[in-house]
Amino acid sequence: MKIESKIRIILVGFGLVVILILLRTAYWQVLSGEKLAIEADDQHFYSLDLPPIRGQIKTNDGFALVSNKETYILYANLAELKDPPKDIVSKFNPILMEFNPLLATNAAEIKDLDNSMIKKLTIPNTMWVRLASGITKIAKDKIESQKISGLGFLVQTSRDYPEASSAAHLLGFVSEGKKGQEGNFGLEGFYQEELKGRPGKLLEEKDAFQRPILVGSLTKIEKIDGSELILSLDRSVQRFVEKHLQEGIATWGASGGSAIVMDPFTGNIIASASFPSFDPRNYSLFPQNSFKDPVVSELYEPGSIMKPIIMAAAINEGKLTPESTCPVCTGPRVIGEYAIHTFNNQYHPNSTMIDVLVNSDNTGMVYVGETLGFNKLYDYLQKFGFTQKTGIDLQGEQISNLRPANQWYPIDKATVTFGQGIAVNQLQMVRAISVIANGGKLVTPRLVTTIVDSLGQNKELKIKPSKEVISPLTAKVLAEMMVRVADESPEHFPKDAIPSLKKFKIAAKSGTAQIPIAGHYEQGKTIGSVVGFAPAQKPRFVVMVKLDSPTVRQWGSDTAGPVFFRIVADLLNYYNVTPTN
Amino acid sequence: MVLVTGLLISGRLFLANGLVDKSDQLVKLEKNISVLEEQNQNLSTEIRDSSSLDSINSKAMAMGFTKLDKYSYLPETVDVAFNLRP
Repeated sequence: MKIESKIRIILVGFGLVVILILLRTAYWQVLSGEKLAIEADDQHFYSLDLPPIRGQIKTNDGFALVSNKETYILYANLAELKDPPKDIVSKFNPILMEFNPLLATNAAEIKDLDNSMIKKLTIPNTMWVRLASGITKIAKDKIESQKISGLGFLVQTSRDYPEASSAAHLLGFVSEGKKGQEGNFGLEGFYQEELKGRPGKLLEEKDAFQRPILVGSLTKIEKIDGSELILSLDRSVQRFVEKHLQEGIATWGASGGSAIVMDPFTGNIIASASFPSFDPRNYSLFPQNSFKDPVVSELYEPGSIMKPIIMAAAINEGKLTPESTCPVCTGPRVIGEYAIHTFNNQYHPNSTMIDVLVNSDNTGMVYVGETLGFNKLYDYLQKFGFTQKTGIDLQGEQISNLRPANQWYPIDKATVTFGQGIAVNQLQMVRAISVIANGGKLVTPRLVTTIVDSLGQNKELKIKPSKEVISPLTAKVLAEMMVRVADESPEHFPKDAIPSLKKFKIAAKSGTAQIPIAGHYEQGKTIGSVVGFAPAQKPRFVVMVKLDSPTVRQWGSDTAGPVFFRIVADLLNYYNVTPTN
Repeated sequence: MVLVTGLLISGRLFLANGLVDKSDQLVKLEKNISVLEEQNQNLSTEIRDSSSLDSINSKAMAMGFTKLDKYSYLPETVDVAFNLRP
């Protein structure tokens, strides 16, 4: 072979090699370039998610009712466990229960808890298992001191409740969802967007030893922490309201109850308590139906506390005055096949409208309704807010839709005057009574007064404009009539049981509602409530107390009454209100 | 030319070495910040727990405070602490 041919073959060979190299390079750079760049970035860059801190919820004195704290997740690395699962569980479970007694309250529950932990430690084909979360630092230190091989801890941020389960229904709780912390029920649910904040990200170039390269690239998307909510809630008032309510429920053998304190001029909720309640730290140990706030999500027939509302409508329309007499209050009123009685079957001929309220006279109220006229009565039920949501900033408010006016039977038109055949939530009732307390205006209840963003900027939430429902004069007249109710009602209305209250003018009305069930009223079961405000001439607060199914006595004045007056006495003292008399 | 290149390479090595040292310091500082933040949060939690009404209530009880059930009001017309001398 000639030398030229050899050189040509070598050149062709070189050419092929060059082409192969070019093709391979094109493959790495063009076809696999993106994938390789990602792999390289994975090695060079360190990526860190920056979770936002969820906003705190504070009472009106700036105390954090809900905050955040570092807690720990207890996990087990199953491959590294040396002792038998039963022995391991017997070492850490008592510590878990010591710091969270709700985990197991009796021997059977302790055994169940032990078994479930042993089960977790013996799951086949598993390396890592989560045993418990929300563990405090003290509990973690105590478990670590046991030196159990195979157990470890991870840090997590949990919601912290310094006042324990106080105002749990208002607050709601936070669960871990797919998108991070999710607020459920109450304020946590309603203000989820404001509280949650926005996560950030850090992308930093690191060397082989995972140290940051100072001249390398750094990309940081700043996290935005959640906003803080400042409430109108007063934690001292909340505390004594909860205390009095719990005592009342126990004393009168009630199945539960609720109490609200509201500023009638601004709609600011000062306190709101309901029992049975739940512990937001251990929400998973409570049934689903215990999370809803009964104050806004439970409907009930209000009974006689509706009477001042209907009376206010009739007086505002000029149909009656407090001194007008009832010409048909001599005995039971018969409407169709039904007879309407008074609560004690006593009748007061020629009662004035003041007497009708003082005696809580059902027959007198039927007369008031008839004098007012049903169309006007229906109109006022709407004006007093019974057909719409109150507008409170809480999740889960329920209301009942009033039937169209032309679908009411004569008996319905009669019973609605004393609060039967109409369903309301407790806050609607408080709002309606506030109209009488504040001079005639329908306010919008609220809990959050200010939102503070992560930069510390305050956004004060304006009080929503209120509509006039009754004239200031009618409101004043009704307030005086309700004072007469508190002072002159049958002897069991217990204002006098608290001597300090004798010096104050307190407006109040009690109600005892029957509980409708499947088309009739449940025998022997009632809902007792009292609503009112003080001092009557210049109210500082409206209070409503409701006790469900009291067993010791059935009347609202007997059961909810003492709780109401104890709360009022403490409020007058707390706000340094000077006596009227 | 060789001298300049040598100086540049030495300078770069010196700078890189210095940066690695600074990176170490940065890592230590970040760890310190993290520890301080944790301590700060734990202290905040302790303060909140100590100023909760439950805690204040139990401390007040331990110190012998009780709730005042009866209180009196002074009439507005009475001068208090005036005209004490005859």
